[in-house]
Amino acid sequence: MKSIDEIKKENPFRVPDGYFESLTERTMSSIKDIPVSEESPAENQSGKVRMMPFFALAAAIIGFAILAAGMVRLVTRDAGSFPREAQDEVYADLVTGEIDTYIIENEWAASEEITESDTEVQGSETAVQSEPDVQSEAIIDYLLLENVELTDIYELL
Amino acid sequence: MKTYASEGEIKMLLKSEPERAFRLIVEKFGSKLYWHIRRLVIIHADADDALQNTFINAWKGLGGFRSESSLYTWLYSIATNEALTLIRKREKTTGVSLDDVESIISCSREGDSYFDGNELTLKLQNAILKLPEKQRTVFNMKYFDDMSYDEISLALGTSVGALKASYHHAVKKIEKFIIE
Repeated sequence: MKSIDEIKKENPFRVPDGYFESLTERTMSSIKDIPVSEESPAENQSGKVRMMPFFALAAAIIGFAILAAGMVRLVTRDAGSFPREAQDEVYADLVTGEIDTYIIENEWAASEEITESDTEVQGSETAVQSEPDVQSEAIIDYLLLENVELTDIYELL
Repeated sequence: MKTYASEGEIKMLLKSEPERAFRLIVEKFGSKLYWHIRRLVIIHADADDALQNTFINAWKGLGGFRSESSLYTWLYSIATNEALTLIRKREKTTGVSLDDVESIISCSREGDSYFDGNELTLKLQNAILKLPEKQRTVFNMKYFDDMSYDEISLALGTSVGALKASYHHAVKKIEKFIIE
């Protein structure tokens, strides 16, 4: 057998005895209390079928928009990621900038320390200057102990 | 042989005597719609349920039926929808896709008392059940119900070209399945 036409169109299905004879009465009794509406189920169905291309088009547009958004995001991310050399330059710049900032900050801090130490030195100088007599006396005492002439000591100081 | 009222006669009665018109509809199209549904759902009890739902929905929507449309294709459209809805519900309930007559019959309460096909017809039915939903519907309407592509197009809301392609694919698949 090579073709479907060679098969006899036999109906292998059976129905209970008297099924078709009672079909009309059973159907009429089942619809007895049901009101007739103005909307046809088949026409409603065919309306859905008519709308199918529009639903498909809407779905395609939404799908395309999602795809396009994904592509844009991907391209943007690619543009954001530089080539290796460019990345190195960026990192170098960043590191240099960091170092500069570090230096400036440390110089600032160092200058602050210097200022403070200067202040301390100046303070100590003031202290030294405020005690010139003590140092002069010690030197005079030392020189006298060394038997240096008093006139020479005054000339030296 | 019993003679039935023509579509034109039924349509003329729809506005003035809807109940009488509907009785004529059931008498004229009842058995055709039953066999169309039965070939899709296989089980008699399911076919009877789907047929009753078809007529109830047709009755409810009778007021919206446009006289220039074909009653035949309008009813086939509702019947196909009911049959496919029932198949989906059944597959959801059983949790498996029932794609051969034996498994469908084994899952039903009525057993195989309403199926007595020979080996070849059983194989043909199993091949049809393996088809995708749309191809199965188109094949049954064309092969068993001898409907034209224009009528099927009106009933299913599909273009004639797409129906021809569906039928062609269905026939090829069935022949391949039967030869194997």
